[in-house]
Amino acid sequence: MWAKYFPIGAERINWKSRHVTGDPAPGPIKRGLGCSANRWGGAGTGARAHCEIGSDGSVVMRCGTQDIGTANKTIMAIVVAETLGLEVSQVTIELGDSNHPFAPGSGGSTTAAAVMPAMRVTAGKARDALFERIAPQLGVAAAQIEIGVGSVVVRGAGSSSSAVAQGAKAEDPAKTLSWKDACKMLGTVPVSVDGQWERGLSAGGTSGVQFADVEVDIETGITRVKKIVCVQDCGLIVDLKTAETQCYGGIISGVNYAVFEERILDRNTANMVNPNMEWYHMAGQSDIPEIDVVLVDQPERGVIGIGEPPAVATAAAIANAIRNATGVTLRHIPITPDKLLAEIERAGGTN
Amino acid sequence: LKAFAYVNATTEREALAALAKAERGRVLPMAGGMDLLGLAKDYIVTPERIVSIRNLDQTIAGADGGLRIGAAAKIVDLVEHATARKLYPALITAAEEVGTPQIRNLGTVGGNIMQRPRCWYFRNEEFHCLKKGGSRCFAVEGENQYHAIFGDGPCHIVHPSSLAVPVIAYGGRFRVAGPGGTRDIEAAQFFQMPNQNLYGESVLQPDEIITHIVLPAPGQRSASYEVRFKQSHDWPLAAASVNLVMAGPTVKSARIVMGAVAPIPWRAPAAERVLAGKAVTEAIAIEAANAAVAGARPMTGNAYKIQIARTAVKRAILAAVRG
Repeated sequence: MWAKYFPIGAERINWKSRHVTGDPAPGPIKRGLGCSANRWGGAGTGARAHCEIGSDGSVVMRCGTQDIGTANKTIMAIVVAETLGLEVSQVTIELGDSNHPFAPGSGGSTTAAAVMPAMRVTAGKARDALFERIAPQLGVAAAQIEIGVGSVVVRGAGSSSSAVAQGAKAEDPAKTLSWKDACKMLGTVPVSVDGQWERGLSAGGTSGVQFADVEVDIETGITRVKKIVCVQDCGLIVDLKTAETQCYGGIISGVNYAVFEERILDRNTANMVNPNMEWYHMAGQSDIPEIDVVLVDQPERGVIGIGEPPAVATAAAIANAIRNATGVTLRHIPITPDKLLAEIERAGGTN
Repeated sequence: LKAFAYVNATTEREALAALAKAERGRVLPMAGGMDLLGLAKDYIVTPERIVSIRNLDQTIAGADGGLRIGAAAKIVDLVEHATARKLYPALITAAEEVGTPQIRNLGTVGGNIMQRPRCWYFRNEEFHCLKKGGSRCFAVEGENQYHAIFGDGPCHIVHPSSLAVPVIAYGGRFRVAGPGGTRDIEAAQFFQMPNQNLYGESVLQPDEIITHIVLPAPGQRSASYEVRFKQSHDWPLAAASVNLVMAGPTVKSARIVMGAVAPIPWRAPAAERVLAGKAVTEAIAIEAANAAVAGARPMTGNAYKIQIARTAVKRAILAAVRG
């Protein structure tokens, strides 16, 4: 997909304005553009879940997964709500508890691809169980009931076999029950079903490209990342906002990886000398560039994880942009002032 | 954090009484607490009594053509003081760059000057370094990329105060109150190198406090320039303050002080001499900046700071003359 993505990113970073290696502009501040590409897996399997629908209309989905800040819980609720025709606020997700049905750990960007199919399958099973339970009371077959918008819709309400025998017309208009009224028919026994991941709803294999726009002060060796453009796919996008947020997070980590983060051990005692946020540098608000994210939706592929993919390309794009700005090539990150000044000096100094 | 007694002094006299006969390290004054609480939590200091001096004089006012700053003034109040901003741009620029908004809102001018070094060996309980009574400076053969490029040791800290640098450039004084009364000390004479005072950084005694910072009238041109790795909360890699007394377009006399390069704010008399009697051009600024770092003696891993200090001096000079 890179061949499609590079032109999109190039347009947005204004690649046409890129000068030859080594910014010819006068003064110590050198500007540069760079790019790079990433691939990642993002497949997952094995998650299980348990869903209950109460007679009060409540929907509770329990799953032994966790939300480590990725919005996993949000997109779980989105999938369950969509499957049942409800608002996200009508769905309760319970996670982060190993008493819940098993789900894999969060790592390798596998969580979404493992958990979302379990949500879809389990919510679908709960829906079907609800229909089975209320169909006799409605005098229809379960197959005649479907999900509406905050409701269940009963097709051909007068056309159940007994009704047809009584001369009802098969094209009788649909009858709509509110979700609450439908669930009320459950009485004292809720719907309670188990489900698990099934093949075909998720996949693996993401790709993306990134472009960096940087400024390097060649008299101090300090790099400022001005802008990152990210063009990224992750299969079916469950929720655009939180998928974009995952990209922001990955890119900010990528900036840190490129420029700031470094565990420094005292060479004589092996004690870490910067075990604090004072000397273990990480970008603060003013160090974070403008970030422009273009997500490419691929609904036919199913859900794929997006946790790590956006972090893969950032540092390489920044290092390439630094090379374009200064004409020197840094092969070790983080690209700190000491390393950059040494390379600039080796290449003939600031003039 | 070891438990301590807390005295909230409302007057100088109360503060001095609470600090009287203080054995070094047992009783410590605290203003904003930005530094002291961190030191105590890291067990670098374990005071038995902390004497709050945050309620002492916080006023900032013109005095004798100059400025008098109560040591308990918040850094944010200095930054927002109209007269200070107009007359002392080198001080205001430095103050604006201190820490974070939260630190500037609570941290005081006196506290900034009296904060302890940020050396990662000094601040780490695992290293019993020279400054803590140990037998060696771990930076010499260890990780010294943020350490001093001037001075002969035996301790190689850089002085952490951003405000002391312009105060010295302006020829300021510290008003010090102690059991013997009040005295003024030239800021340029206040700080001490490790071979004079290993366990502290200044001439201030444990039973004394700074009550005021007094600045004389500034030169016509002044500026500071700080180089930081990060734009957000970070310490300078190097900084410089320049104060120029002008005769028309010509520099009559100059004061140039560098920060974060030595165990004390480091004056650059050779650079000052380069500027004296000249109209400053970029070439003159570069010559002065080269003179400022000519005596640098870097450690194993911090020679890059020479170039950064040179740049800070050059840019501070040019910022001063360009206004």
